[in-house]
Amino acid sequence: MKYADEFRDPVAARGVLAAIARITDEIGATRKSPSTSWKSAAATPMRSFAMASTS
Amino acid sequence: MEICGGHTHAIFRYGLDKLTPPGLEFIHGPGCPVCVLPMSRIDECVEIAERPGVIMTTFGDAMRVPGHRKSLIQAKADGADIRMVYSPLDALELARRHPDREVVFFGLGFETTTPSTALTILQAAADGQTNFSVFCNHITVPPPIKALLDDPHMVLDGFVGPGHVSMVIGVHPYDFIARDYGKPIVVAGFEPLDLLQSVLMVLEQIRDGRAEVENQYSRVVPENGNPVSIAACAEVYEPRPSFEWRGLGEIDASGLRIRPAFSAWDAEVKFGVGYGKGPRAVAEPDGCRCGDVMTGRIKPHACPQFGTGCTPEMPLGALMVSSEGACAAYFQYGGLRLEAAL
Amino acid sequence: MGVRRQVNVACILKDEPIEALIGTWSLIHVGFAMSRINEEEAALTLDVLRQLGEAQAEIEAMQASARMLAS
Repeated sequence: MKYADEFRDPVAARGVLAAIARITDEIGATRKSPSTSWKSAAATPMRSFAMASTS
Repeated sequence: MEICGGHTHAIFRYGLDKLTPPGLEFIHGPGCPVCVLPMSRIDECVEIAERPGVIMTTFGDAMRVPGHRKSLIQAKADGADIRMVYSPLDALELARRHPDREVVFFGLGFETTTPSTALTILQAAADGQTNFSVFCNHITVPPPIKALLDDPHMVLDGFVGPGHVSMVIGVHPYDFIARDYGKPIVVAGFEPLDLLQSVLMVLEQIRDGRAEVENQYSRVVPENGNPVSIAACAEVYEPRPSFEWRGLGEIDASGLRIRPAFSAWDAEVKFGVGYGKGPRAVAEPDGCRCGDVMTGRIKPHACPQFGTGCTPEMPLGALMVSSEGACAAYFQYGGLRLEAAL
Repeated sequence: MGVRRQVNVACILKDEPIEALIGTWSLIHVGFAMSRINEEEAALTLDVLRQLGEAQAEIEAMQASARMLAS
């Protein structure tokens, strides 16, 4: 398929992953990580999303 | 959160969740159409399929979705004439070849698939093909995203937007996510680099304090979508007041129905089933936590049925049925890693 | 190689004869051509990705060189 191989270039992937790691570090130093907030959310009782959508 | 089930599948297939740093977490959104289809709609589809003279046609991935009574594959085993097709056009062709039968197409999917059934209905109308109809279960992406964002317990920092949905509707239907909720969203392609680049673009927005709608998949997604598709959908479909999503409940204006002008091709009208025809059961199977998985409250393997009472061969919940479902992706690609972690 | 199949091109046809589509790439979904693939946009996206890759390769080469000199 056209553009399948081009978008699987391992050299480019290493570059993007390094940039992701850098920025994640930068962001992580200044704010609470999503996973931390998530755990506290998971501990709370389930709410109905139908309610959420109409509220 | 990646919204689209195709993205969820690609993330697991290429192990992107393991390549990215631990501080980054993918939450799998409600973007697998088979997974969010409620059991009551499967029940109604089976009910139509079991009528004498009916040929029910469907995409293959809907065959094993459990209903309260049975799945389509069980109904087929019990004698109903249910056939898998690749395209709604194939269902219309079947109607041409069997003028003595009623051919029904089980139309489901997001905005990516909606134009194909709209254009097929327009074709049937133009041809006067009256033994063809569509059981419409088409749904739209923006309303459930709004429902998720309105939930006070939902903590998401940004979205990877659906590529093929956006190829139809363009990028502006997501403007509210950035404008009203202050969250970044980047419409993404489906190759591994597409996804990684989109994640990077979301992170850059978060770092810079921006909330914008960006388009990484510009080779396929035009800013304003596909005008022919949008016009066909607007001609054939209108929003339902609300539609039920498995695991999420009823969501306002999230589903589409066939307009009265095309009711001759509306299976709900033709067979007298569906919304407004009686009380609707909404219960899910015992112990099934698809809803919690879909809203990101738990990971698939935290469900007590995962891998025991619910497997891709014998699915209990819908997230295990489709390869785009988060549970099926965990089961298929996460097994070894899970064992290593235990 | 691949699959041959009749597809509906109504969604991607502009004011032009159908022959204009010959040689173009399109995304096909359930029997319908849904979007023409824009080669220029693809090239632009790939350029950005390759630049990130080259930059990282350069950083890694510098780090490797520094380690070699330090040992």
